Amino acid sequence: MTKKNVMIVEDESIIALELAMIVEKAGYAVTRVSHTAEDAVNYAATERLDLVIMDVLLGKKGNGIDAAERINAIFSVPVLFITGNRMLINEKDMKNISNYIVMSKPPSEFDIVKNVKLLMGD
Amino acid sequence: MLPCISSLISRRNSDAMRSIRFTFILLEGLTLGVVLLFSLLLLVTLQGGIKDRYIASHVTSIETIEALLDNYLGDNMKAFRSFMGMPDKERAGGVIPVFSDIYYCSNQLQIGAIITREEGSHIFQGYDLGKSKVGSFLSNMGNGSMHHSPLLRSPENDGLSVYVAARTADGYLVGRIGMEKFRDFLARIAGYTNSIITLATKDGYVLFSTDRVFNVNMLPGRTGEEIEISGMKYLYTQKRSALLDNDIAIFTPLSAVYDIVRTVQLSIIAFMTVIIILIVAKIVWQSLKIIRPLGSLGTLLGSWELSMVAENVPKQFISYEEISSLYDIFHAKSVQISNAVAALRESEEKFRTTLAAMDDHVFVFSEEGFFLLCHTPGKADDSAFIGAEVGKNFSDVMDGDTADKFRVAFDACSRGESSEFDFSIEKTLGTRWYSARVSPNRINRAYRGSIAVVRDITERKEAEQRALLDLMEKDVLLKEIHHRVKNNLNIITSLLNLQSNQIRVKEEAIEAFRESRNRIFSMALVHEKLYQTRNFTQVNFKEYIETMTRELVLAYAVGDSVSVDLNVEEVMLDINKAIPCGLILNELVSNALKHAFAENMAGRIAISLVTAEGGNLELTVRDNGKGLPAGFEMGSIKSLGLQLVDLLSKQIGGSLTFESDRGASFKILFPGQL
Repeated sequence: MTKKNVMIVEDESIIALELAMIVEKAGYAVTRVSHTAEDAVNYAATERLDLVIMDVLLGKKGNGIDAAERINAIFSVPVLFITGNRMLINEKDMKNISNYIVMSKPPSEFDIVKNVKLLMGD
Repeated sequence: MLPCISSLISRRNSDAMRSIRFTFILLEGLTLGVVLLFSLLLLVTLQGGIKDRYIASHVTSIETIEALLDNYLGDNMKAFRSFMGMPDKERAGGVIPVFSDIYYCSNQLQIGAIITREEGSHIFQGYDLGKSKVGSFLSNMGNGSMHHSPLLRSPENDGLSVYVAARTADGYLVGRIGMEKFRDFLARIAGYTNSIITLATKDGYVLFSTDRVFNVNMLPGRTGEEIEISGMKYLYTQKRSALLDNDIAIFTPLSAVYDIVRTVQLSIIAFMTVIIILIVAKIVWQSLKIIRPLGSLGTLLGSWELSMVAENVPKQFISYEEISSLYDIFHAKSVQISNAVAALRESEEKFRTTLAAMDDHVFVFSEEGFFLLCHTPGKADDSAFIGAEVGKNFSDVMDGDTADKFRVAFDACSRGESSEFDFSIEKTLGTRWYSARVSPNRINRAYRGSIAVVRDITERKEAEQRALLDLMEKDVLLKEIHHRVKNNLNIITSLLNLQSNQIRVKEEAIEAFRESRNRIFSMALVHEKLYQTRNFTQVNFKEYIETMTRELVLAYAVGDSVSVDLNVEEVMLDINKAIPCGLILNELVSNALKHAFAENMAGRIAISLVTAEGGNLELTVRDNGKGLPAGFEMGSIKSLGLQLVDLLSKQIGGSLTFESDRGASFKILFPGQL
């Protein structure tokens, strides 16, 4: 049985490293850790993905919601948003994204695993 | 102010003087006129009256003359009767001298004996009177004892005579009274009245006049009139006398009439002259006594200077009660005015000084919005009120929007309400802000326009805007910091989570806590350094490195055996760079302190941060320890610390190189600015 592919988009390397560790421990393959929105969209356009874990504020490297929108415009993929500020999430902006969950920073390991599984229907 | 008052006074005063003199002359002239008119009237009335009286007296005079003549004749007839009774008529002829001729006459009208005969008389004994008027008088005499004739032309001397006749046994006794006798009689009467008495026939032929020189042949037709004869004027009255069967006329020369009139005239003229002299004297006296003192008071008032005049009434006026009181009143009033002017001046001075000390613009507007007073301090060329001056209208000086605001405020003022508003003007040096307060200007409770106090609040406004901007900046910063705190806490939880995965034995747990503590401290130190900068976004990384290394040396308790050399430039790092760089520095220095040195070895760690080419920064951590293990590769490191160095180097867009030559050396080249 092949593992489901997960992309992590997070500009903070340490947080990305932790997320990758949690996701892999839960039995999934982290096929890409992106620090920028541009890199994430480019990767998603070429590789099959089962889930994107997306930091909303990517600093000067892009907007996570915008990146998730662009990815979902290409093909539909569930998104787990992790944000420092829930106010930044406006449901009206989510035109293309059908399946997503928003989590606040810092997220607990238990909640991450639960939501990842929920989004992928496992 | 004072010269103005004095000129006003002198002008009014000269008017008053002219008026008083004019009134005097007018009144005196009026009196004179009335006197003249009265005199003239008196003169004319007198003249007419005297004439009328004269004419009336003429009529009575004629009556009197007739009566006198009647008496005269009566007396003479009495004498004639007595004469008739006398026996010796020849001798008695001298008894009645009035009769010029006395003679007998027969019934055949032949003159008989002549008793008396006037010298030069034409009669003689035997003279026939039959054809004369005397004859017809005698034959018509009737039967009465004695008669007298009218005035007849006598045959004796062609003169005029009155005949007295009485019947005798065989004829008549006739006596003639000659004209000369009449004339003498009438002349006496005429002498009394200053007149000329004339006798004339019924046809108007003059028979004789009492004045021989009076040469009139015919009586003038009119009676009771003023007539002119030979260049002389007479009052003339005529009457038909039944007694004499002739006309009697009286002529009175006008000169005689006017003698009286002239006397009256002279009296009146003398009276009037006295009156005129009196009036002129009165005018002169009044001028001297009333107008001249008033005039000199006027001159004094004209050049009135409070400092030049005495408080007490001058000698020249002291005898005039009214002028003295005028002087006193004027003096008192001028003292009052002088005090009031001084007070006003002081008040105005205070007002000017106060106004000059004001930083605000102060304007006084008329009801129509014209400037009555302008106080515009400060730089005139940068003001909203360029060109504001007394006499101009506010709408000429202010731009449309400002003028509208003032117009609304003026309307409110006219209803007695004050108003406050702010307005701004675009100038070349930027927007200028003003705050205006416009209040009604009330003088004696009546609305007299508006007073506007306008303050330049540009600096306050700019400060407010700056404060607002600062507040917004701080708000953004707060959100940013809040976000960063959450992010950093997330990093910390992530680090702890990652670390916990590596713990297998108790010693590793102790070590893990120390490492974690240092990692969190390295992050906290960034924040501490951030607080010390103004905008909370930059960190002085030189100070950071100094503090961080000192802390780590203390934490690993190697202060005696390890020394740290720093070669760090003054570098400011953005917080986004400072956190990863701080962590990297922490990992590399911790790694060296933990693993590089053997016990009892004098360790040296050299840290440098220098500017490299292209605006890059170069961070180097070198030690003189055991060096890196053989076959050291970044990709295959198990140490979380070095894994983090690798990841974070990439995160900040840097490149990590290392070498192992008499100790380990790590070098990261990264862009100083993002």
